Amino acid sequence: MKKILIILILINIVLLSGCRKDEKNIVVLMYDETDMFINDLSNTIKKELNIKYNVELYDCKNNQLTENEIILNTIQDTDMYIINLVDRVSANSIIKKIQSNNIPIIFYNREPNKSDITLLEDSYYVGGDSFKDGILQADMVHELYLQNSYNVDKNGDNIIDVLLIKGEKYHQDAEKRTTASIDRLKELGYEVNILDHVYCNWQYTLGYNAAKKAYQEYPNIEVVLSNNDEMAVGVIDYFKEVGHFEEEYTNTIPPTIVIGVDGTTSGLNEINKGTLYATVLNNIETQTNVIVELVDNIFNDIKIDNTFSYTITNDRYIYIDGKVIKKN
Amino acid sequence: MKNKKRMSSMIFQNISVFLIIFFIFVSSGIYLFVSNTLEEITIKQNIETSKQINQNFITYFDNLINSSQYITDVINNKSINDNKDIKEIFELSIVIYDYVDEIVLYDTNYKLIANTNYTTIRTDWYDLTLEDQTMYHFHSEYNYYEKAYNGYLSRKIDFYNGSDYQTGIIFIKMNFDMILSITDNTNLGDEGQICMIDTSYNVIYTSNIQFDQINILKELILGNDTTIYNNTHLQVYLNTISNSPWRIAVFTNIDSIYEANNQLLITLIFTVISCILITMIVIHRISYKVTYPLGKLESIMKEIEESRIFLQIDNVDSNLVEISSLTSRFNEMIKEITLLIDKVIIEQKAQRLSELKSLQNQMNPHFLYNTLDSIVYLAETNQNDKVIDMTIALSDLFRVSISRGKFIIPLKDEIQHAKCYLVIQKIRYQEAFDYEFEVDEDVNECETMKLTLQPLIENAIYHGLRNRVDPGFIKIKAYKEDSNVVYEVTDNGYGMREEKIQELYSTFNNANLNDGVGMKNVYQRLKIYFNNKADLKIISELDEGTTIRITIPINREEE
Repeated sequence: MKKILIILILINIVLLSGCRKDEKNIVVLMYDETDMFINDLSNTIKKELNIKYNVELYDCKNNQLTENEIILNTIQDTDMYIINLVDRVSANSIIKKIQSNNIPIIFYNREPNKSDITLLEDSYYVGGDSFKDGILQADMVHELYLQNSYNVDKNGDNIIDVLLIKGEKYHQDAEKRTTASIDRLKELGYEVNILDHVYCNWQYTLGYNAAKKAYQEYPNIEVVLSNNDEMAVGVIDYFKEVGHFEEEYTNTIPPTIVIGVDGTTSGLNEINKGTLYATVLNNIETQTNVIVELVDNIFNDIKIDNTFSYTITNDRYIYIDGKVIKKN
Repeated sequence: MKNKKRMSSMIFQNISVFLIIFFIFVSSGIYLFVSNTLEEITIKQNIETSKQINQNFITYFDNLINSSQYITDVINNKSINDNKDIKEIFELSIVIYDYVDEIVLYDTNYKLIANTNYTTIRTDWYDLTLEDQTMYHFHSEYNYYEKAYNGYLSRKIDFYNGSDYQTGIIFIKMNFDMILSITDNTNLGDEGQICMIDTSYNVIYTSNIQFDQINILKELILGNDTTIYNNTHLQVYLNTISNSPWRIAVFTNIDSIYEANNQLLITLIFTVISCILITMIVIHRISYKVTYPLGKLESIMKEIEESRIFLQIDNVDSNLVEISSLTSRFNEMIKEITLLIDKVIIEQKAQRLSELKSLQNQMNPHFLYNTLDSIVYLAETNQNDKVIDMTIALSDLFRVSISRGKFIIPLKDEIQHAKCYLVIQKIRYQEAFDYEFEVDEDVNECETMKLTLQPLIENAIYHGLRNRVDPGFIKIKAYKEDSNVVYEVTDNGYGMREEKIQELYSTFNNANLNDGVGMKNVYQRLKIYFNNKADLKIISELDEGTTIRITIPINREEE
């Protein structure tokens, strides 16, 4: 009886330890699950990695202290961290902490400083190319202008009146997209009048409120450049509510050109209606693929260099180009 | 074989061992649970407090960044006429915002645009700021005059210079006075302190000037831990301050946990020991109460066994039903046994009497037949005097013999009986022997068993005097010795060898009552009647004679 028990226990130990060896534990942290784009991206990453690995996805409730706590609680049995930082400047401490346990990290969507990311050998950043996103936004305005200047410059004063809806303070994507689009427009020779720039934390409601405030002050907003689709849809919904926008534009151009980024479901829906002129797709699929390839390579000790399927900037950063999505 | 133990010690030992184990088990369980809970709660509370302190720091940086944002917004405005306006705005700002000490603005070509003080900014900070233009940068520098670190915030911004929008870098020197007022009001106990470190573990700010625990922080990086410093237990909380790359460390004195644990331990040990002592005393009392009556029972039984005196147990003051019923059962049993023994004694006595009767009856027929034969012979030879003497003696002899069926008769009657017998035998043996009586006066009224002397005299005549040429002589003595009456029947015959005497003695104890000679009959009757208090001794010397000596107690017990 005793022997059988001992044998059973031994078998168990072997099986369990065997399981652990095969199953790598990956922890994915997203800064806030209420951010639809991040939610979508994070869940896609989890889904794809779950095929081969054991993946846990955590929501940090937009609080860096929560993110720290989750890391501290999971650090003992995690083989890889995939982190969407709440606060980009906290990267330094987090990397140092994780480095002390020799765990590789892949950051996504929120870019850490170069001086921080280089602290750890196996740490990479995967995100959209926000400069390009901004440039593409500006190019779409330019393209429309070229078709007919009145499509954009409604009052014909040769100045483009722009409302800037920004994501989040200090988020590299927000700052870069906005700066890049304005710089590009100026570069293309337009005179740009920035009516207002409002931080809306990537949120629909704040986008709606920002539109309300700006529209009451400046009724003839010509262009709205939004850092993401959620906020853009918020702006559009307000315009519809006050009658500035119609429900749908089949063949005509709406009175204000609204351009977003990401290509979320609600954004694509508005594009079909013609109310959202265009969006720059923040490629969830490609970003996920990059992350999966990085994870596979790191776990299999394959060096990440020129042979990697995507271009690596500064040895650590992988930026995925956006793609313009317009009606039809 | 196993050692037998007393019941009381067994009860006491078993329960004591069980209780001690139980108490130790329970109290160590309590100790572990309480001390763990206490530690957990205290540490949780301290973490909450630390989080609260951290929240103050976060708020501080939030305010700082908001203020700088606001300042940036103001100078990025067409209402600015020239750099002087910017300087004025800066000067106003440092008055309005407590968090801001100095403000410096450079353009992208390291050219100073406006400043509130004449501080020079390190160029490497300048480069760092331009490297990532999307966020605020934090810098720290040791000030040798103030012997403290200064903190700076920098960012690339756009500003209006009166004619055009221009890019530049703004530097804001932080004022830690706000934090000072927060931390001063926090009680963290002895050696407790708050400090802020930068990414290179420089202590930017500390509430304790003699801070030398940086290695703990370097090891911890992030999270919670406990450490000992100056013999003080400290809990360390190290976490990031949101919106900044810097970290906050909170050291809280947690000696109270250990003090409380020690107190708990002492209290528990004291309680457990007193509990054990009290219960042991109680158990001892109980086991004594249970086993004392049993012990008493046992000792009484032992006494009975040794002395064969049947005692009753009384004053067993036990209020235990089992014990009192056991005692009364025992008493009843003893009563029963006593009754049984009495019964046996009565029965034995009856049996003995019947045996005695039958033994006494054994002697008469031959003698009567021989005597009557002699009388007939005397009558035929006309010796009438002798006929008269003999007949009178025979009649007297029978009177005493019968004694109205009594076994016990006065000694003088027994002597009379012996005399009658000798008269008869002397006539029968034609004066072949002579005899003498020597009876003390004071034994005449003593009681004695009847038909004791006659068989001995008979024995002396037949065995001691027979086949003698010269006349034999028989001497009968009766006297008092101690509390006994002693008879001695002495003849002057050939005597007996020692072997013969021993053989006779051995036949005395033979169970067969009916095969004996007269002496055995007497011996057995004496034993039946007087137990071992009476005795028969044969004293003999070859060619000198034999003495049979009988000792009978004067006052025989009533049976």
